[in-house]
Amino acid sequence: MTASLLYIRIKQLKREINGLSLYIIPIIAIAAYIAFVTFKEFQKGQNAFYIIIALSVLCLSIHFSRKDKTFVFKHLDNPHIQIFLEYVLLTLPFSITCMVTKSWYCYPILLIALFCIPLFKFEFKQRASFKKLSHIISATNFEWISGFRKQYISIICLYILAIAFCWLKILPLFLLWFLTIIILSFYSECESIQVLREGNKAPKHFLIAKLKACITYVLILYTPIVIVNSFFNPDFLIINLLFIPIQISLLAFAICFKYSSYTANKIKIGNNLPLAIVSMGSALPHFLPVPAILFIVYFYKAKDNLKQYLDD
Amino acid sequence: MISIKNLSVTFGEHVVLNNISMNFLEGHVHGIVGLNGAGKTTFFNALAKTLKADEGLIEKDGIALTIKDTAYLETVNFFYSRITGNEYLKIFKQTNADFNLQTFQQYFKLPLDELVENYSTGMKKKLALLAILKQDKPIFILDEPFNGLDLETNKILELIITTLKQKGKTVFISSHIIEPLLTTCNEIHLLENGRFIKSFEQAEFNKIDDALFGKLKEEATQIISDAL
Repeated sequence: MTASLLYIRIKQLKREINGLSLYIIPIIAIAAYIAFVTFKEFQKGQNAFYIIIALSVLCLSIHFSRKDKTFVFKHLDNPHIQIFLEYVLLTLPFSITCMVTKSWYCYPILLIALFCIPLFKFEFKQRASFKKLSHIISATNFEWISGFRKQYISIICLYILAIAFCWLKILPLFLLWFLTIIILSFYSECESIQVLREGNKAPKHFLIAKLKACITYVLILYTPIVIVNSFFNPDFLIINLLFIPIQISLLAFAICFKYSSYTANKIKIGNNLPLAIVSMGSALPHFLPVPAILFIVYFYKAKDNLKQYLDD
Repeated sequence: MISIKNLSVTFGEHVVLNNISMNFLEGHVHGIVGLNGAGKTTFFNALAKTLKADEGLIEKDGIALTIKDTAYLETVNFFYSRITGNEYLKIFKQTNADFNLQTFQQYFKLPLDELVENYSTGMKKKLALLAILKQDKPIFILDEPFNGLDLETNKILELIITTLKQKGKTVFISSHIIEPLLTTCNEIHLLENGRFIKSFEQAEFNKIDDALFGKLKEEATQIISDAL
């Protein structure tokens, strides 16, 4: 059956939508907004080709990272067509609108590009970079080791840029804020119960240890840049003084938020959206205390949730 | 003595462990066998306190069993992404002074500098096993430890279990393959519909096959011959 992969995807999508509950509304809103922006760009005609390239590259990167290729090519009928259809459907809301604009010729180009993508059948095997990382970051802070390996290019680039421009107003803080958003994603996986219980800590002490480790790394990374920035921009001293506590409260909230819904061996994809919303909010003056308030609320929720795993 | 008193676990309407009361001798290897859905993993989860029982007590020498008392090897092992085998092992403090990684590595040959997500099922099982052997716990719970292991490692695992017994540890093992249990266990307990219905001493191990599969063989023989 040629549509069997699509049938599986629809089932998975339904399950994800159920899991997201009301969070699906902002996701649909963002997708609708992007679809609207792409339609406008297709009408103007200037950036149409770049949108098509971006969509093709997006599908290519998904194709390289997907782990079901061997299964699909081995067990499904017409695997090439099935994967192609999947990418066509995925890009449809952001590409089909070009058919009613003067950039209509982009759509057949996109289809040709998408048709070629399933021809790449090989799978990338992840290599262990930075093998001695546990000499710098303690293995008990495995979230940081794992997160750094996943995102080291972005982390290093952002940090070097923040150092390079540390004498400028706002820009280094913006880069560090972006770095905080990357660090938030370190806490999206729930470790196994064996790892959780290592050290036999009570829920409160367990959370404090996690928070301490995170705060230490953030202080080591952010403090030198903020000090230099304050030296060059004394008029921004108050903003600089508030910056690190806000980033710490954001990360503290992320840690407590994860453990408030901790389920062993699960990846909490649904947590990403609320975290993204709170981190966006933390950049707006009126919402600055929000992460700190949420941290306090979720600290107690996390403590309660962990009781079932850590208390006798 | 590890005593289970009136242990019950239900999932919704479904009773998985049904008012179990049982005593297990310490320093022995206890095999837990049962057909699919008998409640083996739920029993282990209750023993390791990874799930809360609805009712009942689990005691060790008259004192409630604690999380610190058990090391638990689950059937399927989960590892944080982009972590190497070495880093995973470093997460666990070595409380077992005799544990020597290099010695185990002579047999397991794990690529400890590689990411765990690139490991095979058997390699992941070996890594998880090493992590629990690093710890000095009185009770080891091994749920399907022989699954996915190669022949040599199966034999090494049997030797590990025997050594744990000699060191006075209490070991609980389940397995879908009866043979390794026959060589390692002091007693094998038959779990059926959430209750232990019979325990076998070593001298009675030859009766296990009939007790476990007798009914199934009786029912299935005719059905299969009709269906084929």
